Amino acid sequence: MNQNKHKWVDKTVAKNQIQPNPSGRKGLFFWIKEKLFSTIPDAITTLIILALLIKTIPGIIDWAIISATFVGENRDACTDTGACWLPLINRFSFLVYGFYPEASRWRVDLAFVFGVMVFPLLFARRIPRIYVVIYIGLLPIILWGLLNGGLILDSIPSHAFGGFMLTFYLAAIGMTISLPVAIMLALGRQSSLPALRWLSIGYIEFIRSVPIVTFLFMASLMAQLFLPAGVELDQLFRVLLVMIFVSAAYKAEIIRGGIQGIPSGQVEAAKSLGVGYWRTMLFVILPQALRNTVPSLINNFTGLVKETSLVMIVGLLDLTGLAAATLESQEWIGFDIEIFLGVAIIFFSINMLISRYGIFLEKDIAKARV
Amino acid sequence: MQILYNERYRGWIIQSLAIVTVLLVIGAVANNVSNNLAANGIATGFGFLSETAGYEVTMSLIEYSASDTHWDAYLVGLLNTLVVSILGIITATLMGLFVALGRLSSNWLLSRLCYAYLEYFRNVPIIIHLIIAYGILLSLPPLKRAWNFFDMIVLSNRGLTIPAPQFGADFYYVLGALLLGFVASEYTGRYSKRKFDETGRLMPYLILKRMGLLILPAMVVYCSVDAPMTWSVPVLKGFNLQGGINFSPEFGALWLATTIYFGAHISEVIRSGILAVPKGQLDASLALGLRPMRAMFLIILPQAMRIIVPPMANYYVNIIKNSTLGVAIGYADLMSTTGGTSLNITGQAIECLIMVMATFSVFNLITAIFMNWYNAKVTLVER
Repeated sequence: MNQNKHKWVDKTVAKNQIQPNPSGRKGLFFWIKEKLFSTIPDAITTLIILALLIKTIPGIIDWAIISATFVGENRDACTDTGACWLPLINRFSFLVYGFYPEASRWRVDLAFVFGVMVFPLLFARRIPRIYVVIYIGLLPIILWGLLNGGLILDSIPSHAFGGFMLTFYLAAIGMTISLPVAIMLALGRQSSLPALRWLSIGYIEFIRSVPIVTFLFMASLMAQLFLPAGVELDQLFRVLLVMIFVSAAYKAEIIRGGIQGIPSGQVEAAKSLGVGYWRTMLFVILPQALRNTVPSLINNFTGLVKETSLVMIVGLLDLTGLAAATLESQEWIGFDIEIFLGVAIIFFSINMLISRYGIFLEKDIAKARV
Repeated sequence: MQILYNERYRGWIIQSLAIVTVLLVIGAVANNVSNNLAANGIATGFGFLSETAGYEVTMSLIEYSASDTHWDAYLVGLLNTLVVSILGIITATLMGLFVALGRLSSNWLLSRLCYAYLEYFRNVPIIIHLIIAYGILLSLPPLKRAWNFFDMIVLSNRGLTIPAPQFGADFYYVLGALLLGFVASEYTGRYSKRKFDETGRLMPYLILKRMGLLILPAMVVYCSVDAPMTWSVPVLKGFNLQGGINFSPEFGALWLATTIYFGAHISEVIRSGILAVPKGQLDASLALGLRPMRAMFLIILPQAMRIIVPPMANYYVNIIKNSTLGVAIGYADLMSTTGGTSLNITGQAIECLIMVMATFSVFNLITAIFMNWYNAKVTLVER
């Protein structure tokens, strides 16, 4: 009996010794077995997905690329079986610049450059923060001066704004101006003065509980009711104000989270050193709080970019609005899927880039903190 | 000047300045509004609600025609908003759960597929999803060649029509029996939970017993009383369907867009909640012999709930608010009946928008209260 037991032990030891070489646990075959067919339900799932992909993907590729039309004068060039990308390709500059006069389009291009510059600046460590803050603070003024004109350049009426340029305009100016408003609201909400605190809480909670569409309706339909007789505000300006003041309420909550994340010892230390409220906030609390909230703020920015598409509801022709208007023109009626897929891909790429950048910054901040 | 440097007095001065400024702005706006209203000859007040509305809506779950009042139109809009929000919340949560579990799956193909879904639908504005979904639903076959399931459910480019229940006078008895069954089933559930806590023994077939208790009394009463309920079946008459409840393509598009867009967002919330549960919990439950699915639903998800619930409440509020985007495709929600057509017809812009805003604030309050209650229920109870 004793011997038997030993035999059994020997057997398991021997079995253990002839286990496959760990190097055999790599390679394509092993990967497929482990990641796609590890259990029977797993294998069934894989097969179902594969079958679905094999059934749909070639058709989609054929429709979108092989049988699709990319070159042509008008809709007669389009085939029945494939997609027709002509409304996007032929109207590309229209979708980007809207009705902006052709001679002044360099101003839009320059504005794009100024806007995109923010991202490398936010990341570059060599440039002192204060310059970045000044740049972001000046950005809405630069964009306004470039796109609206009026001071140095000749002024362009706002009904010429449209397409991707309008989306960019609303998102960039909305983001940069709503940020300081949001900081004031967040500070107000944290303030020790009860009147300021309750006013801020009331504003933030009211704005957050009502759909933005309501405010857009108010701005576009009822503004005349609120203004004294004879005073008129441009519709784009009213919508921009709504974007700024609604977005500020949401950002205020993000920034409040950042401020609350700063240990109270920081405020107490500043106070004991005799630093006043504004200096404490400006030089001690806000730099830390804002650095911690940059990822959430970038996330909020992608939300704002998406939200700009709502202005089409009140009749402004942003990218989405122009796409819808393109569909109503006699020439391109019936190409809904192509046009909106194109717009969707544009939004997707922009937001994807911004959110990737946010993840990148998040890691960078985490690294800097260690 | 000395007073400005005294912290207490400065606080008072700043506060009174803020209050005075806010009051001045409100006063100026109110003054402008009353002047403008007087100049345009618009009367104020909610009297317009009892006037005839005079417009049709694309979808109504209650009886409504153009000869009904603005108040009825408000109710139609309210009901439509509620229906699309509640259904959207349910389906978006389920969608989010599936996508989150799919992304966490060990199956590479499934998790990549879910990731692609998530990134696309989350990064594109919901209004574009809405327009595309609407375009697809409108390209369904017309009523003459509609998909017809057993002459009960009709799906066409006019939307989905299902049979509508018509309640008889005796239906209240059935409702009463259902309530009774619900109480009995709830009691059984509590009883078995107590037994389980005391003895560790599960009551066999608990789910079946509870279902039986819930349904059986209502069924017995239903069969014994006289015609408690009949069905109104959709029938093609001329160019229109008559009878049944119709869910318009606008409703379908809004529901679909809400589900896929917020499903993508919610899946991230659920996934991060699940990932926040320590891995040892899963290992321990597998070591105790629980099957993976049971471990997920009995051990992991209840703990993940604590992290999931607060951001989820935020998304639920967002779903309700985003139902107003239906105006882009003409869904007859609150924003397009009271806040849109009624407003344009009567010119009572302030009253109409106050009604819309107040309604949404109430929705938000209810959601917040419910989610707080639920949050208190799932949070960790420490000894």
